[in-house]
Amino acid sequence: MNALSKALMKAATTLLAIVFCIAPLNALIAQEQDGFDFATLEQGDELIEDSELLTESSLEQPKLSAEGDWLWLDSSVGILDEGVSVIRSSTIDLGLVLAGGPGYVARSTDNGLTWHIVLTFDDDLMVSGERSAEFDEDVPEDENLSHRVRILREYLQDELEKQFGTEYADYLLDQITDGDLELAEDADALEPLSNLKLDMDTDFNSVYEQELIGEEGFSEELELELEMSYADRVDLLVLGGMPEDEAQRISANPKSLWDIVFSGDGLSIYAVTASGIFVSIDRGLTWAKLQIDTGDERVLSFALSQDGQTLIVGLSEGLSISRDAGISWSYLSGGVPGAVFGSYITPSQKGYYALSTYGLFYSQDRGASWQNIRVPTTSVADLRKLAFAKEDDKFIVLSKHDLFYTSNAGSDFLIIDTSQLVDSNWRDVLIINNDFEQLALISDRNAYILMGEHWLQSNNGLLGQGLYSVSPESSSTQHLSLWLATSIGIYQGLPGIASAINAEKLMELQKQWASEPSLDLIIKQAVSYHHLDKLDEKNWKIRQGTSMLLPRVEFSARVEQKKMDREYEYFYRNSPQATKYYRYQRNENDYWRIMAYWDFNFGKLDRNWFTLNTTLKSLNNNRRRLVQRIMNLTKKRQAIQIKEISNAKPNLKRKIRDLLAIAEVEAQLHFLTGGFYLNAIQAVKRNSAN
Amino acid sequence: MLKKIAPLAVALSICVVPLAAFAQDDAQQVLNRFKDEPSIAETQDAAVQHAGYGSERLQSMYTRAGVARILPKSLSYSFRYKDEDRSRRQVDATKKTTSGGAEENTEKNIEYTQPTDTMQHDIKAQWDLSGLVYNADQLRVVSEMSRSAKQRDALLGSVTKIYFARRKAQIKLMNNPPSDVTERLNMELSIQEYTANLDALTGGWFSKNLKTKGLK
Repeated sequence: MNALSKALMKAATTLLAIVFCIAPLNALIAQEQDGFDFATLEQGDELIEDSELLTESSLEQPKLSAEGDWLWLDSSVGILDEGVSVIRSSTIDLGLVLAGGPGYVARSTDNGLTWHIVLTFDDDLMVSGERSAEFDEDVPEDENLSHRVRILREYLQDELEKQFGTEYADYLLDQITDGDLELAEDADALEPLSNLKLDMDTDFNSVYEQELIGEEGFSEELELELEMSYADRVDLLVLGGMPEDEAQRISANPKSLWDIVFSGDGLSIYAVTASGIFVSIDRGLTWAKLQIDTGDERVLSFALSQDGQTLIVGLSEGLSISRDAGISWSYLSGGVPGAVFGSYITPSQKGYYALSTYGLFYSQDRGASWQNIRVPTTSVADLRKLAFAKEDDKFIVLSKHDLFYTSNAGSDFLIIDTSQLVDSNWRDVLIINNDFEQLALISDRNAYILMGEHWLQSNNGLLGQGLYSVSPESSSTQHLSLWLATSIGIYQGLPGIASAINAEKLMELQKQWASEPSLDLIIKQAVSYHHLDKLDEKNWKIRQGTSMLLPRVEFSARVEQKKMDREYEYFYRNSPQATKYYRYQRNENDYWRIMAYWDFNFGKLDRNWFTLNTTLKSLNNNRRRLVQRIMNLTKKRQAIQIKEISNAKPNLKRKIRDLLAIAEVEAQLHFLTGGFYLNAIQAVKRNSAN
Repeated sequence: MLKKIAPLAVALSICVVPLAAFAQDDAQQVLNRFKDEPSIAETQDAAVQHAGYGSERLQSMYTRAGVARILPKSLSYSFRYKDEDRSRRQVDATKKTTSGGAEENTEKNIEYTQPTDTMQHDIKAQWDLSGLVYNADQLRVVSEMSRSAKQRDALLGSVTKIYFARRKAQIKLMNNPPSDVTERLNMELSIQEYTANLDALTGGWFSKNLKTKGLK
């Protein structure tokens, strides 16, 4: 009995221990599994409402469906605020993701948690190797100074030549050193020019600002285009009135990254840029440029067969092909006309497709001959890209306004109904299943998912940024996940992630946001701290206009005091007696005069007007950038906070990284608002603790 | 009985410890280990002070630029004093015939003295009334303020990046100390490098503060 009771007790103890050990682990596993389930219908509306508060754009758009809600989470640590045009993940090397934008390629080996720039390129310049993106923005002070000197020297050369001719202008400029130009605020302050009557804007600060605005305006325009596809850029420039040839030349900017392509075996990665094609065989760490003789033509597209033997390079005129894994190349003259901005090899490697500025072309004989396929778009300029299903004959043609699909290699095209969607400037499409029943479609601003016959608008977590491309995330085997390349970084989209967000935590977070200083207040503080709150443009202009009507006034006064004393004495020679006369006289005269001078020469060039416009333009740009920066930072903070609470796999390292990322964003907001932000946040925390 | 409970307690503790390790507070605890170090706000303040980016000077310039146009554009005052002493001697000689028929010469001497003092005060002032409604100097000061704020932002951006890069390196070293001595030295050197950078930007304040608190 004793032995039996002992044995029973031992067995019970062991069993209890096992139960206690396993139960929490089960709970953890259950939590993970529940983490990515779709939201229940009861939770759906509430969560959607919550998410809508996070995004301005979604408030303006009608909700198409509440089912299968997607949430986009920022995954740009390391490259945030960089525009991203392409992102691709390896299907073999799980966790390896490469992304890039104008002039750079970044890689992540932890499925998008952290990023490092591994390749920068610009025409013939190429830097390969991993480095941190953190300190790239800083421009050395010296560089700015020499830039100012160069700008001012060019300006003086032009202006002085206009007034005094080349010879004398050269003579004057020879006497002005770079050091003088660095220090001078005004042209009159330079000795050789001080005695000249200069008919030009002599305020160097204003001149420099104006030049900068000109340069920035140009570069901003280009930067905007550089994340867009080639076809979008050409379209935009042509719409802007630029001749097509010029638009095509500018669109093929050397800093353009068109695509990142993984080879079938996953061992080689190709970065397709307008500066050439770069290849990496060490998981994207180092890169080498493929030697392809493209003449004067720029690379616009690239296709690689599954076996890695056939490579097609689309050029700004025609295409080149290699059938021996890139060892030798042949230019297909007369093959496909125009700029080939899309090259494709079908999954079975039997058919080649090319999208050019002349339309869609197809080759059945490995590129020997090409035939034009007519796509029912209004214009060939609307064609954007092709997306292939698993079978050769099935693909989608994305045009600017429509979506066509074919199941017979382009013999017939049917339109996919997108009429219920609110916009139509399509950027990219992704086939999720083979029957075209599930698609991901993005426009310049919105992301949509096709589920059967219903389109779902899926913008939750997106912050109104420009969208460029969408691609599948390969590391997860349990659920579908997507990558989105946007103008401010990379977003990872998860279906039904809303269910993983603990509703209570989200509510708490929203309460916290509501109690924190509003965006308006933060912006107001920042604008005031940067002295940009004095820019009432209308007021300044009225004042400047009125000032021209007011005269120059001269007041003069004179006070004159005169003392004239007269004294005379006379006597006669024979008489000793003298007679004296005195006369005292005082005169005081006051004069005053007021004169007013009006300058009615209204037609003359008013320097004030130019200075005012230039300065206001520059200051307004500064203010716009500051406000944009504040908005990005506050949104980034909110995105990290959402990501933090939606994290289904608690991990100390990740949690620390998130907390540090939040602290860094808050520190940036702190200095931008002149010490307001952290104090306000801490006051809120103290109040809530009390 | 205790012997029977012991294995159960051990089993329980083994199960609970890894779960606790994932608790959200743990991350905060790790960060709290650095709470005695200078905060980012203090470091930013020190950098601004060191670089002399206080806004008072420019604010004062803006106010002065506004007031300046109330005062005359040019003001001149001249004073003229004229001291003119004139003296004249006049002799009037007349011939006079006496009753006896004799001629008598009469001479009248006259001495004139005429000192004249003239004082003249001239004041002339010119105002450009257009400057009262539109003052380009104020706009220039605003522009200068904005430029200075940009430089200050760039400085503080660097301070913030370095501060957090240092913190990340500290946490990395603390949580995953490398067993390899060289690697560990490299990590410690990189932290020192970040500290030196912060010192350069704050005029040595950062290290001084660490020393004051006994952290260095």
